[in-house]
Amino acid sequence: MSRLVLDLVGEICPVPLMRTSEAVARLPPGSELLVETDYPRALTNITQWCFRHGHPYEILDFRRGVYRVIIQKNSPPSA
Amino acid sequence: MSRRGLLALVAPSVVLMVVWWLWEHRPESAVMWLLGIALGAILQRSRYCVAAAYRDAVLFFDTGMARSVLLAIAAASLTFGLVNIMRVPAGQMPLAAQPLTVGTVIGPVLFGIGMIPAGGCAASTLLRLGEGHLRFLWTLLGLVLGSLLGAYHYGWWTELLGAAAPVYLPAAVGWPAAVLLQTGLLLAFYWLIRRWERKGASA
Repeated sequence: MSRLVLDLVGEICPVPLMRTSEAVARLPPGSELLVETDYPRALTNITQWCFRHGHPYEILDFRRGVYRVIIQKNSPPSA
Repeated sequence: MSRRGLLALVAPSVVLMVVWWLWEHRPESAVMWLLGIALGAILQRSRYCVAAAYRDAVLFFDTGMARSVLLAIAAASLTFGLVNIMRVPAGQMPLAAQPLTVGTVIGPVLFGIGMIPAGGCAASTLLRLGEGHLRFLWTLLGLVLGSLLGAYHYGWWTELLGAAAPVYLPAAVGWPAAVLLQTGLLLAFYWLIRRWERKGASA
């Protein structure tokens, strides 16, 4: 299974969610995206967006001010 | 001891020392200090962001933040109204009623144009700086300079736009009707943006 890494450290809203949604749209269903952000509000935006669009996600860890989130693209075609 | 452990010990101690010092000199400032810290903690933990209320609704059809801002204003209207109805004799609550002028439209639009690229309103700029996002020092600098400039020629604007007498709703229709009217309007707006979100989700 392929996993793409999206480094968003240093980006403030709305850039993190815009780039995450663009990256997820390009992914084939079932593959995973690893998102790294140091912006707490972006973490909320991204996880809520995943929830609303039905992409399973997991917040892996929070180290040295950076959150890492794994997003799995859902199978039916979505936004 | 870890850095976090040390911080968890030092920060509350500093807060309490400031409370103690303020209590001796200006007790009302001690209360303000504690309220400010409580507000900051709630804003940080809830990821509160007024800029996100507008931005996320327009860009991502996510009105969660917008609805929570509306609920916050509704809760404030209700409690402020109840305090006035039950506890404070008429005319004793300090008023901040301002007249409705062209400035009521121009000011918020200018603030919004600044808020979106800057990434936050006044409160979230401070809380992000507190989180350690140093680039918000520039936003804070702009905020302070802008407020200073604004305060400096505030009189000029007031003269230009004309200072009409403010309409104070509770004085015009009474407290219960004013509170009901304002809360009702806010809830109607809540329902409207909820519909907007559903429409966006189905599109």
